Amino acid sequence: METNQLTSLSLLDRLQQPDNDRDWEMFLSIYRPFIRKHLLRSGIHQTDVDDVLQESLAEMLIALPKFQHNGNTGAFRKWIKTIVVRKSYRVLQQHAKTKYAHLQASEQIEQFDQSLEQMMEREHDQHIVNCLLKMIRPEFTETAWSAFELQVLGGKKAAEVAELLGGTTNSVLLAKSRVMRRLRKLGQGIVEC
Amino acid sequence: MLKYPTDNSAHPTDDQLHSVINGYPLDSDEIEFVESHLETCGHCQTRAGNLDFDPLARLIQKASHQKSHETPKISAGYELIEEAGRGAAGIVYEARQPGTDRRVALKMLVGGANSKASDLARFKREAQALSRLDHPNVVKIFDVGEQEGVPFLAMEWIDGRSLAEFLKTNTLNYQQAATLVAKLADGMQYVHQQGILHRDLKPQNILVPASAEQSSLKNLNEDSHPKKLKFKSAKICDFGLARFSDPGEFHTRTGETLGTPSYMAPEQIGNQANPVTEKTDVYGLGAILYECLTGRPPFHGNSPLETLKMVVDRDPVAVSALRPNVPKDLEVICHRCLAKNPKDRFATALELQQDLERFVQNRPIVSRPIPVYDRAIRWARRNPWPVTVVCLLLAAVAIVIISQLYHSQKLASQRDEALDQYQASRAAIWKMLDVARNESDFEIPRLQELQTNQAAIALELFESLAQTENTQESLMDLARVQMVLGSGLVAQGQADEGIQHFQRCQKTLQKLFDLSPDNLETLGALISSQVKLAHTLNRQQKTDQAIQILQATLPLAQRLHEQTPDNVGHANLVAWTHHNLGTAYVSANKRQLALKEYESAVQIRELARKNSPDNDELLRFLAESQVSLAVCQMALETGDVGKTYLKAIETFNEIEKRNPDDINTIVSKGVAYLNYSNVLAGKNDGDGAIDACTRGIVAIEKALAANPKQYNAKNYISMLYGNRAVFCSQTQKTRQAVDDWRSAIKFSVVDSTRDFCRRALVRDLLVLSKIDEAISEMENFKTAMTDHEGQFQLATLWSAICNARKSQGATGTKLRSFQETKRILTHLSHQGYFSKKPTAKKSVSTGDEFRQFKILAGPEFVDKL
Repeated sequence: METNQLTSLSLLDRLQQPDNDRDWEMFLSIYRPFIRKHLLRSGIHQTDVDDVLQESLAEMLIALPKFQHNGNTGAFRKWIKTIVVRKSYRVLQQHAKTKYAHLQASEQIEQFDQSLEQMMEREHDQHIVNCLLKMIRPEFTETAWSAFELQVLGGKKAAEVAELLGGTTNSVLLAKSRVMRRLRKLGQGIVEC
Repeated sequence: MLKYPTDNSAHPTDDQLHSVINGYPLDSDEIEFVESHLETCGHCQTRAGNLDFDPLARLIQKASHQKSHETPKISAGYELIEEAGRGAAGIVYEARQPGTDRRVALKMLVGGANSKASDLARFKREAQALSRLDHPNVVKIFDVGEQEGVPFLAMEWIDGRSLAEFLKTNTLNYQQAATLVAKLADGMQYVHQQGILHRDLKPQNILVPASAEQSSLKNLNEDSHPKKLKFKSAKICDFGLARFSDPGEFHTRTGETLGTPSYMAPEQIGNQANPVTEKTDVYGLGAILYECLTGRPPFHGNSPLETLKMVVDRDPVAVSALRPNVPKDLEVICHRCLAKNPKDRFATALELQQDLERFVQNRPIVSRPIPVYDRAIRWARRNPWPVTVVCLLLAAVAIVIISQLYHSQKLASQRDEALDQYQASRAAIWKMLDVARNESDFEIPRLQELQTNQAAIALELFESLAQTENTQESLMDLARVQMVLGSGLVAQGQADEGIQHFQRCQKTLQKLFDLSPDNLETLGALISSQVKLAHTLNRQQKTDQAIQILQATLPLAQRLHEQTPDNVGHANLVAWTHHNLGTAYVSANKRQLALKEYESAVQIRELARKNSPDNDELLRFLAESQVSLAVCQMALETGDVGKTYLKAIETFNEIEKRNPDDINTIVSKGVAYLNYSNVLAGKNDGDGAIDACTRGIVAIEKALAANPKQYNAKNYISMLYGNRAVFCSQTQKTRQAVDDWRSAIKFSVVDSTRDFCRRALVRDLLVLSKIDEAISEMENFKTAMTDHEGQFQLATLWSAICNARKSQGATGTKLRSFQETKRILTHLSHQGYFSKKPTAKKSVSTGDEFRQFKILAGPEFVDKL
C-alpha cells in the first residue's frame, strides 16, 4: 500500500490490510506490555502469563480482520478483553483449585473478567493515546507539536501560545487541529472519544 | 482589520469551529471553509481559543500524567564517576545521582547478569525491603533496579575503608572493639526487628567512615597517614544479597580466588538440625569481634573445605591465647557468640549489645563462661558431618580447577592433564550427582544452591566434551548432569528452566538410545527422565502434557521390565511410571483411571518386594503407592479402604523396624492412622477409630520428640487428637474427649481448627458440668471469631452455659452468661445479621439451646431481633 493512502486510514483499517507487518509490529508492541501488565496484576501465575499473552496476541492477529466495530463505545476494548479472558479461562480453571479454592470456578472467571474490564476502562485509552501520539509525532514540525502540546497539555490559550512560539494565532490553532485530526483518524475504533 | 466583517461571509458556527479545531472528521469542503476563514478573522480566532474542552483533549491530558507517574523517582541513568572496587558481589562504582549532588555507590551485581525475570523480581523485592531500613549503623539503600539485565543497587557513598582492610594492618584497643561491635549489634537488632536477616556478616561487609577532614588525604599513601576513622559510625552492608551476587560461595565469576567460609555459622553449612535465624547473625558479630581482638578470623584452614570442617567440629582458639591481656569479660562475650549451638549464644543482638555496653562501662556482664571444649565435641557427635557435603566440596574444587584448565587450552598437554584430572574426579562428581536421587536432600537450602551451581559448571564441561568426544560415556554424562540440573532448578522454584533441561536430557538420551537401542541402562535413564519431566509438568499444572508423556513412557517401562523380570530397579521404574500416571490422572480429575494405575503400582511393588524383602527404598515407594491407592479408593467409595491402609501401615512398620530414626516414615505412618481412623468411624467402629488415633498419636509424638518445631507433625497430631476427641465424645468418654480437645488446641497451627476444637471443648465441659472451666475457655475466644457467623456461635455457647447454670440452680439476668448472650445477639441484630439469616433467628426463638435465655430475656427481645 502507498504511504499516503495508508495515512488516510485508521490503524484498525490498516491492520486489516493483508501483509501489513510493520503496523502489526507496532500494534503488538503497544498491546503486549499492556496486556502483560494486566495479566500479572490479575494474579495469574508468572509462568502462565507468557503463554496466555502469546495465545491472546495470536488470536488477535487471526481475528482482527474479521472485527467490525458496531458503533458502541468501548467495542474494541471489549473485543480485546473477550479474547484475553477466553485464553485465560483454562489457566484460571486450574488455579481455581489452588488460589481461589473457596470460590466456584465460574465465580473466579467472573471476577477476573470484571477486574480486567475495570482496569481496561481506567487505563486502556490513556495508554493507547500515548502510543498513538508517539506514532504521529514524526509527521509534525517541532513548532507545530509544541503548539499542540502547549494548548492541549498546558491548557494555554491560542493567543498566548502564539506569542510564546512567535507565530500567528491562526497557525497555532491550525497546528492543534491538524494533530487532533490525525490522532482521531489513527485511533478511530480503538480510542473512543 | 475590522473586528467584525461587514461583508456577507458567514462565520462558522460554534459546532463547526469546535469540530475543526478538535480534529473531528468533516467534509473537506467544510474544513477548508473554516480554516481559510480563520486565517483572516480575528474574532473567530478568539472564539476558537475559548472553546470548551474536548473529551479527547482531556484524555490526552490525563494520559500525559499517567506517563509521568510511571517514570521512577530515580532513573537508572546514574552518572558514573569512577570504578571504586571489585568484590565478590560485582563491581562498585562511585556515581552521582542525576539531578543532585549526592554521591552514591552503585553496585552492579555482575553475577546476576543472566538472571531470569523471576530472579530479578525476587532480587528487587528483597532489595526494596532493605531500602526501607533506616539506621545509623546500616548502609542506606536508595534505589534498586536493573540496567540491561544486570541488577544494581544504589547505596550511600561512604568515604572510608572496610573493616577487613583496616584490620590487615591495624588493631583496635578493647574499648574500640567493644564499642564498634556494640554499635553493629544495635544495627542488627533494628534490622532483625524489620524481619530481615543478614546471613553474611564479616569484616569485609562492615564499612567504617573516615571523618571529613581526612578524606582529602585519600590520594596520599594510606599506610603512613592513618585516617581518623569513626568507628561508632561503622555501617553494615551487603545484606544476604550474597545469594544474588553469585550462587557459588567458593567460586566467583569476576575471577577472584576462592572465597572463604571462615565467618559462616555452623547451621549455615548444610546441617539442618538448626535453622538460620537471628542467632546466626549474632555468630557473625562474634566472628567480627574475634577478628578485631586477635587480627584473624575464628577459623582459617588451608582450604575452604578444611575451614568448613573446623567451623563445624572445632572450637576457636581462645582469644586469650592470642592476646594474653584481653579482659576476661570481653573474651567470654566473644566466645558466647561463637557457640556451636545457637541456643548457647545470645538470644538476640540486643542482648549482645547490652553485655558489650556493660563491659565498656566497667559493669559486670551477664554471660557465663562456656566450658570451651566440652560442648563442641558433644555437638559434633550428635551431628556427624554429612557425606554429601564433603563430596560436594571436593567436587566443587575439582570442577573449578578442571573447567579452568580445560578452557584455557594453552597447551595440548594441559588439556590432556585436565582430562586426566577429570577422569580422576569422576568418582567425586558422580557421588555428588547421586545425591539427586534422594529428593529429601533438597530440603537443605544451601546444599541445594551449591549443588545446582556445581551441576551448571559440570554441564558446561560435559557439553563441550560431548561435542568433541561424542562417545556413549560422554553422552551419558551429559544426560545425567542435565537431569540433575533440571531437578535442582525445579526444587529451587525455577520450574520452566528445569523443564528445559529435562527436555534437553531427553534429547540426549534419545540420541544415545538411537546409537544403541538395546542398551538397557540407557533405556532405564530415558524412562527416568521422562517420568521426572512428567512429574514436574504435573506440578506446574500442565497435566495433559504430563499424561501424554507418561502414557508414552509406560510401554517402554513395561518392555524393560519384561526383559529383566528379576531386576528390582526396573520393576520399580514401571511401578513409578504407573504411580505418577495415577497422580496425573487425579490432577485431571479422572479418578477411575487413577485407581487402576495405583493398583498396578502397588501390585508390581508388592511382587518386587518378595524378591528383595530388605530393600527399604522399595518399601518406601510401596507404602507411598498404598497410601495413594487408599485415598483414591476412599474418594471413589470402592474397594476395601481399611485393608489398604492397614497394609500401608504394615509397610511403614517394617521400614521403621530397620530405620527407627526415620522421621518421614513415622510421620507418614501417623497420617495413615489418621485417615484410617476416619474409615473406621465411617463403619461405625468407634473403639477401632479411637485405637487408630492413639497409635497415630504415639507415632507422631515420636517424630515431635526428635524435632519439636516440625509444622507438619504439629498439624497432624492436632488433627489426631481432634479426631479422637470426636470419637470419644460420641461414645460418652467425655473426660477423655476434654483432654484430647485441649491437646488438639495446644498443637493446632490453623486458627479455624483451633476455634472449632475450642467450641467442642466448651460443649463437652458443659456435659461434665464444669461450668467455670467452660467460662474460662470462653475467654480464649476473645481475639478469634470476629465475623458474624463466629459471633453467633459464641452466643450459642454462652446460651448453653446459661442453660447449664439453670440446671445447677443459679439463674437470673445478672448471670454473666446471660449478659454475654444478650450483648452479642443485640450487636448482631444491629448489624442486620438476623434479617440476612432467618434460620439463625429461628434457632433463637425455638431452639433448645436458647431455652433459658429466652425465658430471662423475654419474648419481646426475641421478636425485635
